[in-house]
Amino acid sequence: MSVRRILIAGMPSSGKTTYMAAMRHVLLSDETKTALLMSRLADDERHLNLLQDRWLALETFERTREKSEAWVTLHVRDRMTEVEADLEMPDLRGEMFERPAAFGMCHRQVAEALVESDGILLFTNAEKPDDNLLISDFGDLDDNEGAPADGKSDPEVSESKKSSEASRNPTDGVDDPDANIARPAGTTGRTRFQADRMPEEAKIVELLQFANRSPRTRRRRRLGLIVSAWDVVIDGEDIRDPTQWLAQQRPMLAQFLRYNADAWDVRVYGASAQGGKLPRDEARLKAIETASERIVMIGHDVPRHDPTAPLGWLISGG
Amino acid sequence: MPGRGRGRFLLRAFERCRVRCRNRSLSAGFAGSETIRGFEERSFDSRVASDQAKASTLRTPRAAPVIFLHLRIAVADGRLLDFLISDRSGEHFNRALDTPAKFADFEEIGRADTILLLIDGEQLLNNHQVETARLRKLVVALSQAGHLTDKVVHLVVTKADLLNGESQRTQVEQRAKVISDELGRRSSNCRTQTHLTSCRPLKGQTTFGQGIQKLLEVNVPEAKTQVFNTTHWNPGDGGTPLDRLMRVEKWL
Repeated sequence: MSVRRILIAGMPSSGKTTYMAAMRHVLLSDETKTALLMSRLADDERHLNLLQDRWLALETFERTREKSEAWVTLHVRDRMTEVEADLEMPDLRGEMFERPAAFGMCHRQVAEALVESDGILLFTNAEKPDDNLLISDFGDLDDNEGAPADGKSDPEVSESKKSSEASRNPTDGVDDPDANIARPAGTTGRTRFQADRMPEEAKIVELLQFANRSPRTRRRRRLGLIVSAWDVVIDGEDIRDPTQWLAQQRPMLAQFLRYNADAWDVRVYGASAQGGKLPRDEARLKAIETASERIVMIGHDVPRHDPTAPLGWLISGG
Repeated sequence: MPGRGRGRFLLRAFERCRVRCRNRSLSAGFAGSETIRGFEERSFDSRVASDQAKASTLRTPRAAPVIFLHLRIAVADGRLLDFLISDRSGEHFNRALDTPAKFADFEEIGRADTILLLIDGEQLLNNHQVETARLRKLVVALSQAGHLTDKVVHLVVTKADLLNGESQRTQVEQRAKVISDELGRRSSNCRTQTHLTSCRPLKGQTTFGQGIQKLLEVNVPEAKTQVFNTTHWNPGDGGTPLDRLMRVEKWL
């Protein structure tokens, strides 16, 4: 039996924990046809039991906190090849993954997991809009870039200082789930740059660069990119292909992956691990007789209710 | 020089690459950056997320030392090219113009493969004698410091969107050409090109970052050209020249 290390990564509120909960239920219940089967229970099932119970109860998953972090192990068998594997996966806070981009450092635990992982399951939330939108996409640029010729205090220095001060307090406002959501120009107030609130795709690109940066040896890994909350895409847009969604909504990340194909073997999937938006769709989801059928997956011909398929592809990567 | 639009120019170059997927006519794409946070910090005040009604760009602080921004760009023939862009406060240049010997300390210009001299298009139209004199002083000082020898210098006319119609644009281009010719005369083996650029769309048009894509493209070296030269890399090692440069310590 081989031990495969899969890193589940993503920025805060990207849907990692909900997906793990759904996957645990599917593996244990064997209600639907899946790529992977559970071969046996792990020694410590507390964390996964808790996640599964909450998923079944249609609870909205809060963002993972430090005290609720855990490494989980799944003992699985590939349905087709009968190959067995132990999947070791961390359920970590999203904040752990944004540190390389925001603060130029990485928690040792994450760094080691990145380096040692055989594959990465990376999440981005379709419910979060492209937060790179420029004001000039809607209006005009201001001509306020000029030399302070009057000898008064230089505004750029104070701006920079304020910005640095803001960056020094990474916990400021992290509880605001809408922090990265773009708002229309002209709304009240002004938000200062905070490194931990950089656009999600910029933080993801830096995380992936970090995995291959010297002195680490650049090597090719499989990357399963999960566009979570896919039900939002189904509801609102005419996009039907997760790869197309990525190109349109995360262009920087899409290009980075395309032009670094020597480092990343990528498949993009759409996933709705809850099956809808809570509490709006609670009644509809409760009415589904087989809980596993709440899950919706799309991309690369995966069975409609099989969240294990991306993992199956990751662990078959050699 | 201050106020010539360097910040906005850098931002547009970054944005041009970052959002390439939305505009498939572009031939360069984003392949990475070692200074993502630097670009993001400079871009923030032009983003909707800043909650400002009007966009602006973070100016290079007066007291800041020279800084470098890195952009890895995939070009049409499949190569990944590393652009290392130096940025220095415009006030540094102003001060050095009073004591030209200080330009000898601007080592990044001496080491650059390509120099972009930014000229305010609006100034070149309305106040061209002052703008030309300012550029001339800069060119002479840089030339005296030996920074222009064997270099490619791009005279980048910014703020073209503030020019009304083709006649004003032509007038500004002609004036830029005069400066370009003078630059060629004053420096040994210095090749020059002029570019009319604009971060906002030209009047009556909708394309942002006018001229910047072309500027990126003309700076793509020939396939056989070595961007960086270092004797310490492992010949069998992969990655781009910058990757190899970053691994130098391993081989010393």
